[in-house]
Amino acid sequence: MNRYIRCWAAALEALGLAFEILDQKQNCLRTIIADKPYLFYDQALPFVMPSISRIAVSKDLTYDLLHPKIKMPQLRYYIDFDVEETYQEQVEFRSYAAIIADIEKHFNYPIFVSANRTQKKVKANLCADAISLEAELKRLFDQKNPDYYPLTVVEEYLEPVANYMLLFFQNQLLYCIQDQDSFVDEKAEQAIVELTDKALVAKLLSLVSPLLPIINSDFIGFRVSEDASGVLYLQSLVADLASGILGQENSSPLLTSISKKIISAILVAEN
Amino acid sequence: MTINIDLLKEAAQQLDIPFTMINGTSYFMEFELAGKPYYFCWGAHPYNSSVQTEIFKDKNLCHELLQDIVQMPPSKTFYKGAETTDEIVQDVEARYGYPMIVKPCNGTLAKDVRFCTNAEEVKCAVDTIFYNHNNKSESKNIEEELLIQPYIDHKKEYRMVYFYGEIVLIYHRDYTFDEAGRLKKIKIVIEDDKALEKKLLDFVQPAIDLLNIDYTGFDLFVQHESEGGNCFLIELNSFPLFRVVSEYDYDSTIEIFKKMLLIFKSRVESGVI
Repeated sequence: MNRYIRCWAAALEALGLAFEILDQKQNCLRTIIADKPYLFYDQALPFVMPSISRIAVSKDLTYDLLHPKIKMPQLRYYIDFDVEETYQEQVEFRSYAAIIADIEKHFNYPIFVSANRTQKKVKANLCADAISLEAELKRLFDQKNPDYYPLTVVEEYLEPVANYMLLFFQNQLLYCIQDQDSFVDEKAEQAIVELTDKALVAKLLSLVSPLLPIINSDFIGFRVSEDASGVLYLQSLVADLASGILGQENSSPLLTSISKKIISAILVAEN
Repeated sequence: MTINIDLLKEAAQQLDIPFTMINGTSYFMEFELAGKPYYFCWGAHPYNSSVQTEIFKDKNLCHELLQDIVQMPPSKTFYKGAETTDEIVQDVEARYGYPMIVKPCNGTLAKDVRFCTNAEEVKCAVDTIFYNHNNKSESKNIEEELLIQPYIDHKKEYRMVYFYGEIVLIYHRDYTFDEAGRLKKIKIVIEDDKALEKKLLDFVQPAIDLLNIDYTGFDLFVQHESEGGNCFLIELNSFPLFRVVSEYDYDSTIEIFKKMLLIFKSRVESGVI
């Protein structure tokens, strides 16, 4: 049984609710909560619409939707000019030189460069000049690379000094915790720390709460960073249980607690 | 690739339902229904949940979950590196014989799906999926799992689009395979046959119930009467693409999108969603 399903199973058991596991790998769980069937699979959640999930895992879509409403690092995206035929109509720049020229028109070095997905642990590499940028673009657009993805994003370099994650269910805050550094994927596990500084939590809540009605999702999370001058900005959305610090092995107690809170909220709402 | 969004835009315009294209893109669309936003981006939509999306993407998992409640073709999954290509060929030759279908477990749009009539073709199909051998992969993704099924001789292959309790589209497609074993579509015919609709809906209902499905494109075979006339579920599609059917009958496709938009709007406004 994978970690995410194990946490849902533990939460259901603790609340006295029955469930069944549907597959041999034990990654798929079915249950009834308040007379309604729910299906859980791996880290995916039945409380998230597919389009919200797509927005959350795509930095370009998150930026398109939310940058007019909240501070985010400036971002532009570039399609592999050798992408499969069906996406060719979206290609704007047809050489590395053209892509680099456009990037240099909009950004100053250093810049972060990464594949356009937050779902997998993707490390954003910092490029300090045109030579390192071209090398990184060639690596990302190498179709023999198992991590190949046809869309690359370039982001303004804002160095975070602190990172936070706020998780909501039906617009109620579930947890506000310290998060991993968004740009590091090979760090040792961090301790899971819930924020207790009420002033900081209130500041974070006032930042992201206006986004809740824009997103309209039963479950949603926000990864927020703070720069050295204390300015808060949105890094990405969270629409599953594997993002950021939630994906660490030591997050199971937190995930079980999240699961319990969500199930309890459904039971209260339906009763 | 923005065909579904283009069709939805046209349907909304005909129905006078306002929408916004986010940040001026051609692929990211918002409707405000009952005071709340609902998004469509590329093929992704606000129907079902991300759980169904993940399950439908994995043909191996779908087969495991549904094979005991809905008739499906036999299937064997292979994992990259677990066996050599020659061992895979020997296994499926003994298991099924020819012809057979080789496909990636997480593929879409029939990319890298091959109809194989001999060992060389199976080897080529496997190496393309696992290793992008000779740069032949249509998806250009390196896959970790593939599945192989015996080819089932059938009378008709259907795409049936299910949407919140209703069948909004059934068409059958006639096709052949080209010399490389790739699907080569010949034509599609939209069906307007209530008996067929009922037969196919009854057939897939156990899958709908088990997986809490609100929306999917079912791919189905119906055998010749001489073979028993049985139905087979081939796969479920999270994000059915309407490109082919809109090329065949644009006006009917717009009507389908209008119907789906009105059903969804009604469900949101009545508080069901």
